[in-house]
Amino acid sequence: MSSSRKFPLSTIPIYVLLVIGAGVMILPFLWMISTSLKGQGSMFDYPPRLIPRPVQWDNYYRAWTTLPVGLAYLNSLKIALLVTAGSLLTSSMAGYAFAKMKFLAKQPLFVVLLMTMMIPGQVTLIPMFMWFSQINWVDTHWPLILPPILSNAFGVFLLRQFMAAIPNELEDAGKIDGLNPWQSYWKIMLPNCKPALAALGIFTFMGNWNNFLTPLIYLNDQNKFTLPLIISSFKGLYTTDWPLLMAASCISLVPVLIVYLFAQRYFIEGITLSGLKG
Amino acid sequence: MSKLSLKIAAVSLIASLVLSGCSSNGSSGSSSGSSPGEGSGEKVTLRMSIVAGADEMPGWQGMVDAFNNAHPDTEIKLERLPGGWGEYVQKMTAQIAAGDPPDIGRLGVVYMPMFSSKGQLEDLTPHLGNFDKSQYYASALEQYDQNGQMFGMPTGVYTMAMYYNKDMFEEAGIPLPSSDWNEAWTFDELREAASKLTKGEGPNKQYGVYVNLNPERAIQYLWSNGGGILNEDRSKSIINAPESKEALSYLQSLIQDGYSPTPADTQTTPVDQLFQSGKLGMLIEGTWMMPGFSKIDSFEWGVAPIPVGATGQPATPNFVDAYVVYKGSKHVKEATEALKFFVSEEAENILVDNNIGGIPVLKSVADARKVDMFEALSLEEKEVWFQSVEISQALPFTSNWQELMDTTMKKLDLVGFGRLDAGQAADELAVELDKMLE
Repeated sequence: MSSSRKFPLSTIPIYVLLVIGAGVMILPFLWMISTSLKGQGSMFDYPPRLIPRPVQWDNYYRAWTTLPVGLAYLNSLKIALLVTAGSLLTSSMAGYAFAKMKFLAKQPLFVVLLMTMMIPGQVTLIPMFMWFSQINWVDTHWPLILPPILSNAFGVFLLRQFMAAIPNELEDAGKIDGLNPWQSYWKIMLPNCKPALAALGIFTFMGNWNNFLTPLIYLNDQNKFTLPLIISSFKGLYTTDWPLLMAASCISLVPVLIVYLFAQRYFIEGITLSGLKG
Repeated sequence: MSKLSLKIAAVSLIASLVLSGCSSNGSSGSSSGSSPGEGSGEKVTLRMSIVAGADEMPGWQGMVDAFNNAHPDTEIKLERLPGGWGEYVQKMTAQIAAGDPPDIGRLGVVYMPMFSSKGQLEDLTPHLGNFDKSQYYASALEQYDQNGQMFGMPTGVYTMAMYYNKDMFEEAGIPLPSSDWNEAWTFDELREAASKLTKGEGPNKQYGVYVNLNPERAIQYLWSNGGGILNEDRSKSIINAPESKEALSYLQSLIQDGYSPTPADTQTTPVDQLFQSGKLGMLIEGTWMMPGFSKIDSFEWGVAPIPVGATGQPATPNFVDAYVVYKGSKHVKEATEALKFFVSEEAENILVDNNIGGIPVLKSVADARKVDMFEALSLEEKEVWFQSVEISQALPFTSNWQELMDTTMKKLDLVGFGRLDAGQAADELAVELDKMLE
């Protein structure tokens, strides 16, 4: 439809600006890749060199073999996927209840739920840890999976707002055709919430993929570590092998990049929808 | 698709999550060995939790394996945590608060007063048995053995000395410094060398010396000039004493004359990188830099005593990390046994073999293994490190040391940037520190 349109001169400044902006954004990224291929010590050469000489592919082999990076991949993936799937289910169910159903003390309950968002995670960290250590869940993945599934107040809030904007007439029509509340949630609400679900899913996935503090507190065994912990393990106490650290970071980025390539549309929708950035 | 089948699906999903969680807890619960084996002849499992660089792990693991082989009734499981001391302390605090700490840890010397004053460490004294303290360097053992209580076993001694780039010295025609601490350079000699080594401008500038105003890296200048940061019983600040002020002013002048990178410069390039890339002549830093610097092949470098101030007495701080038993361990006796093994001849030799842990605290091992340690240095230069242990002193760590340092650095950064006179900064700082020490 736009292929026949002429390229207006007035858009040139916009493109120039966008290219400059894109350049600024991508430079640290290129720097990371470049550093990951450098030798120790040549990282701070001046003038800075984007294409290292010599190129040390060996860094990637060393990064992959010194620590269980592959295992950390699987751990991170398992946790992030389970939490995302689980919290989409619980948040949408709770969101539906708050948006469309009538029950006792609905408003006060919703306010209490919102209030839980005001408590910083650090405050509940130690009580939670004590609780999980009593049921022997420390050094397992469960404390990283169950709490975010069962207490995603932000997700409930986001989906409740989105569902409240869906006209009641849709649901009424379903009721006349004999749908019970569960069916109208599953067949009417969920399909209409896809953009919100996608946005929430992406935020949840990213949040858990990048999470550092909670896994740090709960996990002891190196074979159970998630990627952020493993990458941080590349830092020494006094000196850091930066090229190795950067190689590990590059490796860890690959799945996120793939997800982004396929889900770019939802990312942008999610940001415009919620007014937040990931 | 009935509503029933969906409900069943949802319920069974949640149930399976919870149940599989429980089942995996069953197996991990028994292996972590929280209570079995108390005196019943069963095997006791101890958890040991440390932070370390990845390249240090073979050494620590080797030491733990040696213990496990020699003690069939006890098994230590070594856990390496990610990150640095900050993350480690955060995690230990949470686990102690929850009553589920690892039995053994290795704690940075800076954090020892904080942990011991809060009662988060076990006193080892009741379980020491026939432990012979005289075999160890007093400067290492004393700081953890006070008032009849012992809260930690020293892991090894790190001190500070002056690394210097020999190629740059030759190029500038400066005679190499002596390796005897009693013949250390004076402040004036340091300034002269620094001025000769400094050249160039902008990002490729070559600096003579790095002046780090952080008290943990600068206190030796105050000591050798007759001053210090805190008084003997750590109740009052002496940073505003004339001797301390003089040393600080001297350091500030080195930065202002352009011989040292400013705090801003070191934000963009870490100083150890600056030294490794041959753009820094002299770096006063700790023994812990040795493994990294041993890989330098683009120039010759050496180690010398730190230049001394007005008193003429050489000084260097020591940093002796400690093996500790955390409060809440259910096996204090066995854990103390393990700690005694960690400072035994066998264990110390393993650490030396792997080039970690600093100078051994057991004098016999330190003497016997001189040849094998610090292989990048000549025999004469090795003595710089060994001699430094004898003259070294511990920093006046307090239980609120971190806060003291935060306050101090806020002022001293201004000194480094030249926005505040060193003498005035010391006066203002003394008031603030005294308030925090009350």
